[in-house]
Amino acid sequence: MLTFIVHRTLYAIGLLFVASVVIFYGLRVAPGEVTDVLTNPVNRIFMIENLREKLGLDKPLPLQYFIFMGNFLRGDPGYSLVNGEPINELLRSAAGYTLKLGALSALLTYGTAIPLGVIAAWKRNSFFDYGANLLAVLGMGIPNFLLAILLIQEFAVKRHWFPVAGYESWKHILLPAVVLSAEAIAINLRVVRSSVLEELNRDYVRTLYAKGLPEGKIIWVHVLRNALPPIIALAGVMLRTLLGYTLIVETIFRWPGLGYQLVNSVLKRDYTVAQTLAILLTVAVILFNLLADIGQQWADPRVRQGAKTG
Amino acid sequence: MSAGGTYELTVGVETEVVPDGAPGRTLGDKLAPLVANKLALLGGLLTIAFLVLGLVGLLIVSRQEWQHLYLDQNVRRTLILPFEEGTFLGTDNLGRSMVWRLVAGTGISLGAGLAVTAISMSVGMALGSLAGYVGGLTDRLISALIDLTWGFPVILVAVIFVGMLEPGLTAVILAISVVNWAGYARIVRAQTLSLKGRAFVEAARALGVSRWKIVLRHLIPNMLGTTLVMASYYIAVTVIAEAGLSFIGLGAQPPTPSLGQMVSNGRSFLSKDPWIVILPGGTIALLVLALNTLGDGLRDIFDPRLRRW
Amino acid sequence: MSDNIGPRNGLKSLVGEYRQAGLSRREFVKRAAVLGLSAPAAASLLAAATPRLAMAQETPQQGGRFTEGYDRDFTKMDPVNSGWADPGYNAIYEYVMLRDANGAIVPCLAESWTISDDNLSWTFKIRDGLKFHSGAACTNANVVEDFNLFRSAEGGGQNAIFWNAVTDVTAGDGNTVVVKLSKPFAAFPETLATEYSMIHNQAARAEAGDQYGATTEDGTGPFTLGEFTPGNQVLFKKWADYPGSIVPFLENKGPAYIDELRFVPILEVANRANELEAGGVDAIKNPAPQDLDRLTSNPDVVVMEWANPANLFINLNDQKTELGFDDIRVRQAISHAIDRQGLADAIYFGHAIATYGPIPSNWKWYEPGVEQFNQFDLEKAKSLLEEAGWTVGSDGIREKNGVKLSFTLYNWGAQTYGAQINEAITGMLKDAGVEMKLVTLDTAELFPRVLDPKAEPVDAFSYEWLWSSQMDVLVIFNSIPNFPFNGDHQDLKQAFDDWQGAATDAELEAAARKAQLIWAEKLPLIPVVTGNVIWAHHKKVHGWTPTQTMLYPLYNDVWVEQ
Repeated sequence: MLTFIVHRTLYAIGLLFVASVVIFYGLRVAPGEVTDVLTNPVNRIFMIENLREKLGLDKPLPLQYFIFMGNFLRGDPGYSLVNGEPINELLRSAAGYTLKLGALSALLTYGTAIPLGVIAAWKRNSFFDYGANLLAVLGMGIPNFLLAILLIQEFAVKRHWFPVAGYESWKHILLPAVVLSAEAIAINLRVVRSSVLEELNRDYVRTLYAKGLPEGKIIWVHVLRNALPPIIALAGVMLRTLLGYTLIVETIFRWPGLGYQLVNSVLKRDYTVAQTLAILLTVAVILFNLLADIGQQWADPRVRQGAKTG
Repeated sequence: MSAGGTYELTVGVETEVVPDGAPGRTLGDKLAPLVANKLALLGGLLTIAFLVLGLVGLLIVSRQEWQHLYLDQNVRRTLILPFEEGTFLGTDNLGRSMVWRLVAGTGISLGAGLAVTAISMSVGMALGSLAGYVGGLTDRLISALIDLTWGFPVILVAVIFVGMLEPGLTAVILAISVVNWAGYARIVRAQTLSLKGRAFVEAARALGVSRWKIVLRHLIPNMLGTTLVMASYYIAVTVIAEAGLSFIGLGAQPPTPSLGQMVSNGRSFLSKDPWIVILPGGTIALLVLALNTLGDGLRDIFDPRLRRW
Repeated sequence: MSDNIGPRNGLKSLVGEYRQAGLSRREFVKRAAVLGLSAPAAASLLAAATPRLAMAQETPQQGGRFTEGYDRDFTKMDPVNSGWADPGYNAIYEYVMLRDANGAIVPCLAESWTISDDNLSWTFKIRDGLKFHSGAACTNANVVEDFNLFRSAEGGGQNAIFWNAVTDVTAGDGNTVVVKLSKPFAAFPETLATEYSMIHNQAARAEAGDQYGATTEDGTGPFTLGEFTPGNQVLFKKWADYPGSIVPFLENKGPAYIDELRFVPILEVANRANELEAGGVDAIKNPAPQDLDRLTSNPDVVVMEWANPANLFINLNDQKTELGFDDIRVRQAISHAIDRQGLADAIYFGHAIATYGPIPSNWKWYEPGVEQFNQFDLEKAKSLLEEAGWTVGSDGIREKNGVKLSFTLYNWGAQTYGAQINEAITGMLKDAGVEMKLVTLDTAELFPRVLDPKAEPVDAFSYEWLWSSQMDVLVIFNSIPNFPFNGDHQDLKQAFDDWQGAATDAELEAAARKAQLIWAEKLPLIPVVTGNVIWAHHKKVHGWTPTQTMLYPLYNDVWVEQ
C-alpha cells in the first residue's frame, strides 16, 4: 500500500508538471492579447509595445514560463495584469466561497443521489424508480443557467423565499448550490442505481438473504458499501465538471468564487490569473484523483484482502 | 488510477460488460428485452423521432435554398405567441419562425453531438484498445495522457480552441471531443484488459491469429454494447455542454441556431415571453430523456447480469 | 422617425415616476433640468401632473450604505493605466471641470479659468486648501504633473492624442496652472471632463506601481477605496475630511451623506430588474429593456432613461476593394438596407435611437440634416448596388467580376446587444442580396485582429463606443494610423481639424455639424443605433441623478431613507 501511494504521488507530480506546461503554452498559443484589454483601441498602436515590455510579455516564452512557475511555487503568483488585484488576495477571498459552495453541493449531491439511487435500484421498475429516473433526466437535461433563472423567478422573485443573488447570508447559498448540484445529482443517481443493481446480483447478497439478515441491513450496509468504488471514482470527474461550470452559477447568482475568475481571466488573456487558477484547478483534480485512487484501493475488498494476506 | 481495472467507470455506465458470446441469437432475440422494457422502447422511438427531426434540420441548414425557413426575419413581427397570427410555434425576438429554428437547432445540436461522439469514440477506442492490448510503456504513456486530459476543464480547452480557430461549432466539437475521448479510452482500456484474458481470445492467440485481427474481430465487437451506451450519453452531454459554451458566447454563432444557443439567447425573456426559452429548453430536456432511456435499455440488453435481476 | 429621442421619453417617464413613486418636488425639477426643461416649465408640468400628491421627505439623512448594481465588471481605478472607466472613479476622484446636465462646463477642482486673447494660453485657478486622501496637499503642482502625464503617450497617457495641441504645462502664481497651446483648443474642457483626466497624486501612483487603483488610490473625491474585489464588489468609505465640492449643481457642500458606497456587477441582464425589485441593490444600470414595463409599473421604483453618449457602428474595410467597400455606393447601399428603427424596436423594445449620423440626436450640437441620409430603403439599396455593378447571382447573392458580395463581420463581444443587432442586420442585408457572416470575439481577440497592421486584414467589424466627448471620439477614430476603415475623406478631415482648432463654442458647433453631415453621406463607418442608458433606483434613494452628458453620476448628494 505504501509503495502504491509513493508511486502514485510521484506520478501525480509528473502529470502536474506536464499540465502546467500545456496550460502555459495553450494560453499563449491562443491568439489575443491582454494588452488589448488594457488600452483603448484608439491608442493601442502607441501603447502596445511599451505595455508588452512592461508586463514582460516580450521575453522568450520558456523564460516567461520559468519566471512564472518560480513565482508560483514560491507562493507569490503576482497580480492580475488587467485589474492589478494581487492574486493571493483574490484567492483568499474567492477560494473560501468556492469551497463553501462546493461542499454544500457535494453534500446535496450525495445526500440526494445515494439514498434515491439505492432505493431506485432496490425497488427496480417501481414508480419510485421511474420518478428517480425522471429527476435524473431533468437534472441533466435542463441547462443549468436556465434552471438558475427558473428557480430565481419562482422562489426569489415570486415567492421571496430566497434572495435573487449575492452572498451575504446563508440563504444566498441555497439556490446556487441546488443549481450546481442538479447535474451531479442526476449523474450520481444513475451510477449509484446501476452499481447497486450490479451488487444485488452478486452471490454474497444471496448468501446474506439466506442467512436471514434483515433486508434493510443487507441493502444499506453490505450492498451500499460494496457499490461505493464507482461512485468514488466518479467524484474526480464530477469535480472537474463542477469547477468548469461554476462560472455560470457564479455569474447568475453573483457568487464570488473562482469559476468566474478563471473563465474571465482566460477570456481577457489575464495570463497570470488564468495560469494560476488553471494550474490550481488541475492540481485539485489530480490530487482528488490520487486520493480517489487510494480510496478505491482501500475500499475494494479484494485489494484489501490481498494486502492482508500478502 | 489504472490499477483496479474493475471499476474503470465514467458517468453512469458499467464497464464490465460480459461479452455476448453465445452464438445463434438472432437480432430479434437481442431486441426482445428492449421491446419488453416499455420505457426503453419509448426512449428508442423518441430518439428515432429526434434523429429524423435532426436530419431534416441538418438538411435545411446545409441547403441554401431552404435556409430561409429558419433565417427569414421580420423585425416588425416579433415575439408572436405560438398558434397566433398564422404561426405554428410563434416567432422569436427577430420575428423568425420558432418551429423551423427548433428543427434547425435540433439538427445542429444533434449533429454536434454525433460529431463529438464519433471523434472521441474513435480516438478513445484506438488509444484505449492499444493501451490495453499492447501494455507496457505504450500503456503507461497512454494512461498518463488519459489522466492528463482528465484534469482539464472543458471551458479552458474551448477557449483555446476558439482562439486558434474561430468561435463556432467546429471549435466547440473539437474542444468537447478533446476532453471527452479520455473517458471512453479508460473504459475501452479496462475492457480490453479483461477481455484479453478470456478463453476465446486466448484461443485465437494460440491459433496464431494476428494481434490486430484479434483486436478488430474479437475485442471491438465485444465492446459494442458499452459503445452504444456511451454514445447515447455523449450526445446528451454535448448538447448540454454546447449550451454552457453558448452562455459565454463560444457556442454556435448566430444566425445559425443550436438548441443551447436558443436557450441562452432567450433566457432574458423568461419573465415576459417565456416560450422563447421554454420551447428549446423543453426540446433539450426531451432529447436528453430520450437518449438516456435508450441508453439504459441498451445497457440492459448488453449486460446479461443485470437482466437476471 | 425619432420618436424615441431621449428627452421626450424621459419627460414622459419622469411625470409617470412623479405620480407613482412620489419623487420630491426638488428632485422633479432637478431631473426635468437634466432633460433640458427650465425650472418654471418644470413647475407648471408638476402642477399639471398631480398636485395633491404628498411630497416625499426632503431632508437628507446621514449614514447607511448605498448599493448600485453595475452592468459590467470593474477594472482598476487608475485614470491613466486602465482600459475603461467605471462609476467608482466619481467616488474617489474629481474632475478639473465637468459638464452639467445641459452640457455646460462647470468648475470642480478648478474654481475658474481664463483664456488668453490669442486663444493659445489657458490659465486654471485651482481651489486652495485641497488635500488628497493620504493627507498630502493637492495644489497646482499636482495638476501640472497629472496633465503632463496625460499628454505623454510614452509615459502611459491613454489619451495623449487628445492633448496634441498642448505644448507646455507649467505652474503659475497663486495656485494656477498655465497651459500653452499650438492652436486654439475650445474643445479642451471636453477632454478634461472625461474620467481619464481625473486628478490624482502621482507620488502615490509611483509607489503602488501597476497596483495603483486596485489596492490603493489617492484622489480628492468624497470617498476612499475600502475594498476592491474584481467580479465581486467595490466598496468605498465616506471620507470624513472631504472639504466639500464647488460643483454648482450639487446640493451637498460638505462630506458625503452615506457612510458606504458599494458597487456590485450584475452581469446577467435578466437579473438586474429582479435584484432591484427584490431589494438586493438600491439602484441598477441597464436592466433588460423587456423588463422596463414591469419596472415602471412598480410604485417603489424610479426609472430614468435617455440615449447613451454612444453609437454602434459597422466598419467596412475600404481596403477590401474586391468587395467594393471603397465604393461609396456600396457603403450607402448597405446602410440603406438596414432598418434602424426596426432594430431599435425589436432589440431594444423601443428604448433606443436609430442613428443616421455619427452622434445620437440628444447631443447639444446634433445635426438633424443627417436624417436625409441612411433611411431604410431597400429599393434604393438594390438600385445603388446595381449601379455599382453588383448583380444578383443564381444563389441570390450579388456578384461582380466573379466575386460574391459576401463578407465576415467581427462583432465585439463586449457590447451587450451587438450580437443581436448584427444578427438582425445579416437578415436585412440578405434581402438586398448581400451575405454577411457573423463572428463574435472578445476584446482580447478582436482588437489585435482588427487593429494590428501585421494581421490579415478583416472584411468588417462592429464596434460600439461609449465616450462622453462624442466629437472627440470621432476625431480620434479617424486619426488611428494604419486604420483601414476610414477611407480618405479630405473634407471630413478638414472638419475635424476645424473642431480641434476651434477658438469658440460657435466654431466648435459649426465644425461638429459639418462633420456629422459629411459623415452621414460618405459613411467612413456606418452608424446604426444607440441604445438608451437606463437607470433605475428604489424610491427610498435620493440625490442619485445621472445625467445625459456624463457617463456616471456623482455620489456627493446620494442618501438613502433608513
